[in-house]
Amino acid sequence: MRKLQVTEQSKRYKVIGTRPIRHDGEDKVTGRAQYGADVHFPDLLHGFVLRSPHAHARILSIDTRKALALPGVKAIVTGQDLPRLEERIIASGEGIENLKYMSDRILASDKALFKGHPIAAVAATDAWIAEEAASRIEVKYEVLKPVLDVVAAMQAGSPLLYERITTTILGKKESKATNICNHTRFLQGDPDAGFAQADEVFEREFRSQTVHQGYIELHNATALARSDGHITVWTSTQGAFPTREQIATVLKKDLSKIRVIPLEIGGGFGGKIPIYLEPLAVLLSEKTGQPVKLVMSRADEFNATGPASASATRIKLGFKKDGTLVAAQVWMAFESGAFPTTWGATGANCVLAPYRIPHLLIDSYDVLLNTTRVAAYRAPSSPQALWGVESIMDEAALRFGMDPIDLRLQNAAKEGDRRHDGMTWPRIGLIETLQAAQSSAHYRSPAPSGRNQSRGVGIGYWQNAGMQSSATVGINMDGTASVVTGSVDIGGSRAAMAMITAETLGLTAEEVRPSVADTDSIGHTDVTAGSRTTFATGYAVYLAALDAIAQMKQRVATLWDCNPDDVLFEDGAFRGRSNGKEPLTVRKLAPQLPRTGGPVQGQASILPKGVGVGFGCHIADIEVDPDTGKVTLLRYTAVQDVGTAIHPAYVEGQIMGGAVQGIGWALNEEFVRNEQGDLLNAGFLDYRMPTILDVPDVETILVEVPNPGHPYGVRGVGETPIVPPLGTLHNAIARAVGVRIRELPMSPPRVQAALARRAAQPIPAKA
Amino acid sequence: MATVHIPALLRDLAGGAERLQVPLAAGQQITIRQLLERLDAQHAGLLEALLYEGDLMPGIAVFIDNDQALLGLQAKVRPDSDVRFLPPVVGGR
Repeated sequence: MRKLQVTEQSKRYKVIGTRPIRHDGEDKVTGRAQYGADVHFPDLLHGFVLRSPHAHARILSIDTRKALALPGVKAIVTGQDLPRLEERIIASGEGIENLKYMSDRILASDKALFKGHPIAAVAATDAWIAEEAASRIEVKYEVLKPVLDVVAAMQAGSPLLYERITTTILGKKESKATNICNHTRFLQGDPDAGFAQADEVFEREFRSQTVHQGYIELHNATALARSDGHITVWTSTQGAFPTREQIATVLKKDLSKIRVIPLEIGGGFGGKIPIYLEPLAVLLSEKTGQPVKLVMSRADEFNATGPASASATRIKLGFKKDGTLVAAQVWMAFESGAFPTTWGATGANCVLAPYRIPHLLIDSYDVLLNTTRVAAYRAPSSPQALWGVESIMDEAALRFGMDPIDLRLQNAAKEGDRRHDGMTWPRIGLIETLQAAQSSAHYRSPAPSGRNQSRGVGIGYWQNAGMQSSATVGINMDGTASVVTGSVDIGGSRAAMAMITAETLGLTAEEVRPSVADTDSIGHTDVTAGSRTTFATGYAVYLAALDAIAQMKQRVATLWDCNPDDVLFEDGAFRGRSNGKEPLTVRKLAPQLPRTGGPVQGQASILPKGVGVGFGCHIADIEVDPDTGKVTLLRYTAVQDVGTAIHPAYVEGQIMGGAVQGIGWALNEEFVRNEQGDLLNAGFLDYRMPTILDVPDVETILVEVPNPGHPYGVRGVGETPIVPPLGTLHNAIARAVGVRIRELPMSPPRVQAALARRAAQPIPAKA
Repeated sequence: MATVHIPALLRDLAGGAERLQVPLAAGQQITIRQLLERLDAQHAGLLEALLYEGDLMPGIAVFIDNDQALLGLQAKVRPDSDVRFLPPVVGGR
């Protein structure tokens, strides 16, 4: 596996940029780490959720009497047990949500809106009794015609999911009921005039299907509701605090009554931000007075959690003869699922982000369907939005006889350029990333030239996030330290937090013990999402360490009988400005803390600005088997601007993982539904994710263009790498076989079908 | 003059204008709410289109001079301020 750091920004530091063993590593590899399914109590009850077998149906009646009569059954809850929530829009961990729909997606009230929609939940002495009881609940439905296609759902005359939902445009609501729940538009310059200036105009349509995050660990929740009204929830979540807020909102409780303890998380990728089981476990525990645990099945995960949107896009790009982009027009529709979301707006933010285009118009729509409500998936909406643009960029490079990276360099956004939303770019590293890709060993090697072989490139973008974080840094009596944050550790953030603490305090990574706290033990911290944790929580950790240093300066001043302003902290030690005292490291000072005022604990709670966005460029060599349609990856390289790589091995791991998920999205993964809305591949046997046998080693090149908005130059890393594979592989296949497959995934049947159409759609096969 | 960039889908409420300017005296500062109220007096409906229950619509962010104004409607603008309203920005991972 080849790894390269291009600018070695992290080499400026002592701890940052090194590769210590992760602090939680042993627990993870020995199986001692505690996950949600490991939670157990002597009087634990087990739950089961009865789900709608129909994608769209009116619920006429629910009769639980036979189920309740089954020995071992302790309680059953239905939508009637949830507090009635008014229609009110709030900011949530995932953007904005209507309270009414938030409640309805936990348990259906009047209508089942997707196959798998929860109808009732049972608690019993064991899981099998709970499941048997659920099968005895009698539900009468009036089955309705489901709405399943994102474009068809937008047409006049389509059946409506709701009779009261109208399109929201910022805060303005249209008057007519529709399945289009949100419309976002960006307009810069004069697109008509821009296209009139263009020498070449490309207009293409693209489709992609619903895909799932495919995390290994199933959703789970265990709740204990005490008679005094206090509730404890153990769960697998990307954010203990947002989970607590969602539970409190749905169940109309005070936040102080709920403690959420986040367990280790076996993958999330955005899918473990929304809550599903937690309120059900709480309600069942309230009814029984016993702890109740619920764990989803894999089929539940596919049917009833939040995958990434299916999409339809129409993209028109206008170029001058020299390859300069002058105009763009984009129309996009994103599957929202059965409840309103705003992921289309996110796609609109990403679709043209990499390029400098003076005249542009972007229209993006969120569309309600009788499918499970979509959720975030690693750089949400950017993969669906950007791959079509990358397809046209490749077509244009072939048309103009240009190197595809040269064409991108010619149009790449840079600091000071105007964005699609009118804002100007801060310091970004797209050009450095493209240059690193162009000068990489992979790109400089000859492209595979065998029959049905070729090379593709594509770029990706993710905007990253800031949001709220809290941290404490405690100085132990021997001068080692602890760092506590509220950020769930998904991608190795414990190690990153320890390294930032160590770098700031002049310690080693091994001298710092990192941990993740529950909602009673640290200040509010938002989700581990948006590639924000190392940036924002890392920033809080840095400030907490500085706070500890400021307190220790006071103690040193006491010992040295001088003014605290005359104590400096440099190169890992406290030094007098001019008193000739021997420098004191934290290690040497710590034993003297008790006699100079007691313990030292630094703390910080922040909402940082200065988010650094991420750009990546991937290179793929592939071969297409014309008989089977299978695409084989021969070589794959991922180049990304990472700001500063705190722990380069974890950064490389994030990039490799993201690339592999993007490869799966490009080549194999899709939800397959029949006309009734039944998901036909709700399991890992039929939902084809890449395995170790499907991908070569992903070579990584870390480009370090420091983010000026962070003290150590950190940019978010984890999401960007899922974006480029879609366009990269599409372009490689097109160059190999001369056909552009504009519907994802480019799975063997679609490749075969495209090859059969090849004669009808000739395009140049080689650059 | 403070400049307010009108979101593309609300330009019909602003007579098609891409941006509107609000005259402010040198050194004068007013809040975003006051700025919108002044605009709304001439272009009825603009304020309502950006508000929900009297506050900025959840998820909509206001940026002043390329910098997100976390105070929203209470944020202050100066005579040379450049104001934009952007749709929700959310993340995954």
